[in-house]
Amino acid sequence: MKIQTTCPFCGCGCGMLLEVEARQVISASPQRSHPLSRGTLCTKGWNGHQIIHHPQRLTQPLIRDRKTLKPATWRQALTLISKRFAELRNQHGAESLGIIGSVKMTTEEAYLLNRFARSVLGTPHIDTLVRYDHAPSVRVLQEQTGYATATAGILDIEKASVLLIIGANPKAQTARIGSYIFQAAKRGVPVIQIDPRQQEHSAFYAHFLQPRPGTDLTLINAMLQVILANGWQDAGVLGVSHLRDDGLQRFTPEYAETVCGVPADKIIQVAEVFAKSGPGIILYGTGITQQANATAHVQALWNLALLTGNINREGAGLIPLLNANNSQGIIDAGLMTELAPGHRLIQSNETRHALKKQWSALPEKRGYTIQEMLRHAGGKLRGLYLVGENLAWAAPDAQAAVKALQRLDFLVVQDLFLTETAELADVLLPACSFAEKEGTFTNLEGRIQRVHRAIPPLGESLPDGEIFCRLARAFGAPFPAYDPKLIFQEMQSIMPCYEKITYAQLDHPGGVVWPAHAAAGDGRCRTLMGERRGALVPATAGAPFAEPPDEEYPFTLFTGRPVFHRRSGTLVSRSFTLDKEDAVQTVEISTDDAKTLKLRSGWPVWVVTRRGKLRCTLSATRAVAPGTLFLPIHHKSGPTQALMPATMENESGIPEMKLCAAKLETA
Amino acid sequence: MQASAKVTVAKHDFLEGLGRCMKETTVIAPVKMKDGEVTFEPVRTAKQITFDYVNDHDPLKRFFMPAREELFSFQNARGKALLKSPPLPKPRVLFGIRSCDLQGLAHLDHFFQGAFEDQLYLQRRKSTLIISLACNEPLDTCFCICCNGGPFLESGFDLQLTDLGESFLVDIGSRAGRKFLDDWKVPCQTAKRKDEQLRQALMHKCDEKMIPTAYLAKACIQITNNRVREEVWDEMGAECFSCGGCTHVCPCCSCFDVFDCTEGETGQGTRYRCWDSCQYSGFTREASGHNPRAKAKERVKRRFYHKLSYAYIQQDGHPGCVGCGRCITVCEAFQQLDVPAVVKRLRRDG
Ligand code: SF4
Repeated sequence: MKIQTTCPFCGCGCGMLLEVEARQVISASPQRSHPLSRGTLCTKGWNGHQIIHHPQRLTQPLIRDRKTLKPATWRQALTLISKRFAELRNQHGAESLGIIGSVKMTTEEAYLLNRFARSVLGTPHIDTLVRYDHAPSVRVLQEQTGYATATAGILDIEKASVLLIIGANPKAQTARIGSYIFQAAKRGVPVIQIDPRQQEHSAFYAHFLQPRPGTDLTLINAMLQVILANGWQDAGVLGVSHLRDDGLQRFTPEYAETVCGVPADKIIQVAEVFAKSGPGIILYGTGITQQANATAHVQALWNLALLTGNINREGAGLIPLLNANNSQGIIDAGLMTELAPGHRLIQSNETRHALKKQWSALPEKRGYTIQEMLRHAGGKLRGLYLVGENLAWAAPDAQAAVKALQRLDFLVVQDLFLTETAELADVLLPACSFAEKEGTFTNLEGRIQRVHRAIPPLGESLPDGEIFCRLARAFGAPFPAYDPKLIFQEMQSIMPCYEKITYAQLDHPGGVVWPAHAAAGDGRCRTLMGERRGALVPATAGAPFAEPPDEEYPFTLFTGRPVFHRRSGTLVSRSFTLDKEDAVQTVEISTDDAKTLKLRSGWPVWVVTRRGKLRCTLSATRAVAPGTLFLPIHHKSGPTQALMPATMENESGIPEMKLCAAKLETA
Repeated sequence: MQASAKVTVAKHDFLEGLGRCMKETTVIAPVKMKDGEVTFEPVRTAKQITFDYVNDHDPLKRFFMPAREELFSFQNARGKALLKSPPLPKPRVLFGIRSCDLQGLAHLDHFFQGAFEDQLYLQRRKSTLIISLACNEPLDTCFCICCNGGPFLESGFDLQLTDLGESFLVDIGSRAGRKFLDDWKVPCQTAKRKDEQLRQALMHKCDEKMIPTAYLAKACIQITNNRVREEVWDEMGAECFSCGGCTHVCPCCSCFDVFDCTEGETGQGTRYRCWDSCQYSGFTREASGHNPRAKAKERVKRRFYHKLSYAYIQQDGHPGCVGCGRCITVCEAFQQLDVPAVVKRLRRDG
């Protein structure tokens, strides 16, 4: 029997069929009628299902008994959690508790966790790993449009006349989008790619610019400067002089050439192509958002889109490539400390008014982001409930993160597997996989789609939502039995973005893209923004990244995601086929540097940074420029993020984990 | 191949017979899913069966080599290994399978009964009665006429049905097929000449509708003689997403891998096999870490050598393609690397 569901492995949200026999999921295959994936899946989609029946799945709650985790009943585990959290709350106040939610949960679950944290525990400290990927996008887009979401849909890529991809590898990480971009390039649409590393598809794109890592902001500003200097901007755009007066003048293409290493005439050429080709879409990834001044980077991209008239028309817009399956749903449900459900800011009066009916209480201010929770662990923060994220692997400066978790008085982890983080837990709750639950995922363009239960939960594992409801009841809160449909309806009653959608509609292939009341031809952005226009905000200032190369650490190390990988690798490393693809941890070096250092491909080396070192296999390639090293993240052999800095950007709370100084040592 | 016996059966009579069969035997047949697509799955009544389909997006090889299957489970019994085989498959009927998938099965039969006989596959094959349904209406992605994969077959089925409107023309391809008609009391009439003529007309009409998109011959010559320039493979390699979809949906692809799932330190566990793909880099990586086909280009090349080179055609008796067209829909590189597209590129190169 085949069960229709939504792929849980990236933000594209491809339609997927799970084949079930004798209560076992035996395969995944693509849904031909899906409007986006149209009968395709990527490597992860085809093989990721192998995690479902992995023998290491956690199938019962575990409670720490000195050094070991021992099996327990649900009642024992939930009673212990409620007792310990209540004690901490009594002793140190509700603000001594923190919650970090998973980006893989369904939106209903994210909403419930939010409600549980804020209205039952009463803590403002709630966050998710969207923080590590796209916190600056949330900030800029929420400010500009009122909604922290893409201003164009994925299918708009088919309508665009020009595409700009910056700081992302869509083929590897959001393959379906990579596939639309590839198709556009084959049709002759000019595709501009800006990235410090040449990718397999770069050769098919009309323009490939390879700036030095960490210099994108200068490059984008130079494009803006060129557009303004030549009068190529959209005629109707307001506030141009403001932008011009605020330091943009100095970003001449010649200046940018000295900073970025990209020829000035190339910068002028791509600025012209982007400004003059017609409707254009900018797609960007963590190559932009994990840098120093990340918010300024996203703002500069917004400026570029607005200046070229690409915010409010069809086939145009700004798409942050949220790489988790439900990052958008998590943002919609407000599971970030600055947000409330429905893209409202937590501090606004409107939020209080909207939530008053359903939520018994609501903290009045924003709390800590993940990095702040880790910083205050053991001090102001005493207890943490960590759902479905392996921070010991995913956090920058991971050793420091592990130490922070160890400083806590009480740590609850909820996951499918005994991850490095779960090993630190005082109570470990077994959650079930996407194949064992109902609900919705919202893809990176706001497409709400159903997730269907294909098999019953394995062992005693439970859907995250069910666990939240039971836990809330253990705290005496009147949460009913978990019913995703009712939760969805509750969300609709307080989240205008989910209005005008029936639950039955979500079951259609491709579900429903919110806002559902978008009139044909209006495009997503116009419906979202109404009369708002968005503003050009100068984004020219900002410190350079914290760790430029020096004599001791002469390389700039930057990270990215390989094709068969996802998030911290907890899941994909347990798919037999995907794990086999990910055999060795490599580090890429330019062929020139390899020659100078007398190193060869295949040799073992240590990549050393100020925080630690990692053993890798060297790969000499022309894809990266001299002076740089590229490290694919999250290989199972060791936490790559342990090498990266955790310096936090204040505007959005994202750590600058993309770049740092590094050296190589022979192993 | 010997011409099979032919009878005609009124449609409702056939379905009634099939309905009787369902009471005792599992019948797998095409059904409509909620989204309007068609899939094959066990049915309880003939009413569930749909005839409004060309083919399932998933190849029917999955009923003979599932994407993941248990080979055996093992146990450590005081130092001795105890092995337990999965239960033997029960008899079943596969109704409505299209010619291309059936031709694909012939390809798999050849592979699984070669130097090594794969018992799990063969048991499933032996316990399955195949009633195929010839195609009157191809999809625009179908190109079976280029590969001798349909739309009508001469053999390989137990029964082959041709839809003549009110009745089926039934080719009886085996004793088991004849027995099915007898056992389930399907009233048959000897096929009349006009029925056969009608079928011929349908065949012609279908052939005409089908656009022969994959002229294999020249591509086979190009590949066999190593005449394809490296740049052509380079380009295809760079385009490929290495999703493996083309191999997963191919009725002829049979590669698998084997892995163990052990339960902690107990020495207890299960050995599985799962579909593998020559498009994955892990497929050929050797224990030393060396990978003869580390690049996507090498893997794409390998795939088409296996599909189209003379050495393999001679070995398998057939090109490794039956023209079902699934690789067209499934290709992440948007129809750049499916069989017709690649055949076209190879033909034009030289
Ligand atoms: S592109 Fe993303 S959603 Fe689609 S199959 Fe791959 S991982 Fe799944």
